[in-house]
Amino acid sequence: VKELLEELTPRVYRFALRLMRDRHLAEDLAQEAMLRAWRQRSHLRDAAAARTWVFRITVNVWRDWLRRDRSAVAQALPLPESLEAVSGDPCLLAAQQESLGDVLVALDELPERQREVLYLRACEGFSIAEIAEVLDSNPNAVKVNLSLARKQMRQQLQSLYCELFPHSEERCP
Amino acid sequence: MNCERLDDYLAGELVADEQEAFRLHLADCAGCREEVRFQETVDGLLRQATACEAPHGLRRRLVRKMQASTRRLQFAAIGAAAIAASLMLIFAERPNRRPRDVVQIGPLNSPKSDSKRQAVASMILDPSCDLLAVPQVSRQPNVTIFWLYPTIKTTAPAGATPARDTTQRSQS
Repeated sequence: VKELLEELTPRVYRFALRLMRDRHLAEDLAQEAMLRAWRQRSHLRDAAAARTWVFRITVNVWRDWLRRDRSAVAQALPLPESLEAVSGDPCLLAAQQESLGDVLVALDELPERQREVLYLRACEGFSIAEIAEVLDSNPNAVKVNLSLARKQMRQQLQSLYCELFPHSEERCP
Repeated sequence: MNCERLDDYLAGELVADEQEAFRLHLADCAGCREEVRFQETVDGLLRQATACEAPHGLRRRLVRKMQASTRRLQFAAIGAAAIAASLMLIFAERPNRRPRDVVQIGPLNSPKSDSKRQAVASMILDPSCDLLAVPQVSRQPNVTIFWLYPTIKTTAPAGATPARDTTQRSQS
């Protein structure tokens, strides 16, 4: 249990931060989700699926909160704290910080479901089937949302694209 | 293999053979090659941008709450067992027991949430019994103490001595 706590707590907190976009609310969400998982641990059949299972509980708790008090969750402000967390690392170069900030802005501007899918794929490395399990969705819908999210990111991050491919005549005239 | 499999490749949905075929396609298709490199760069930046440690107090609070939750369950189980044992003793001493005298007792378990498990006992007593439960002051917030006074009513014949009260203390 201790090992699982060590491994999952930061992951669940980071995911909660993407869902809530507020540190204090994210901390509360992560705590509630982990405690619910602890109380329901007898329901976990396969220890290898613990991460998917805990993430699904996190989504369920978050949805419960939305249903109970949508206004409090919806009023959470996006981004500034996330950017602060990134820029707090002195090792990051200014240009890289700018790119990180741009990527975070683009991520947070995605529609909710696309944001969740892209985060779970890119940052947590979940497969399409696992994402479907976490979000209580179906794999085809997840694939469509992931594809839309990537296209949207591509449009939002045009400057990054041109930076990577300055000689691409087709996309960076 | 062609550009249509780009999304599947990025989603990690291609099996080994298909991945290999798509990599061959990448060698010939500059558009897909750029897109793959761009999306992989974005994924890497996303991982960096969202990487942060959980607050220091979070893990400590979780451990504390989990331990408290475990203790509550243990207290509940001990309390229920103590009540059950006490009542069994009381009724075992009664002469001429009939089947309906048997006490049924146990914690109220909620299959959905262990946190709601409490040392609340349900009892079916002989109709001739009364039970007084007197709550007592407890120093521990997780423990509630009751003194239980089962009183067995007997019909005393005229001129006989008064009915005897059986008193038993228990804890939950």
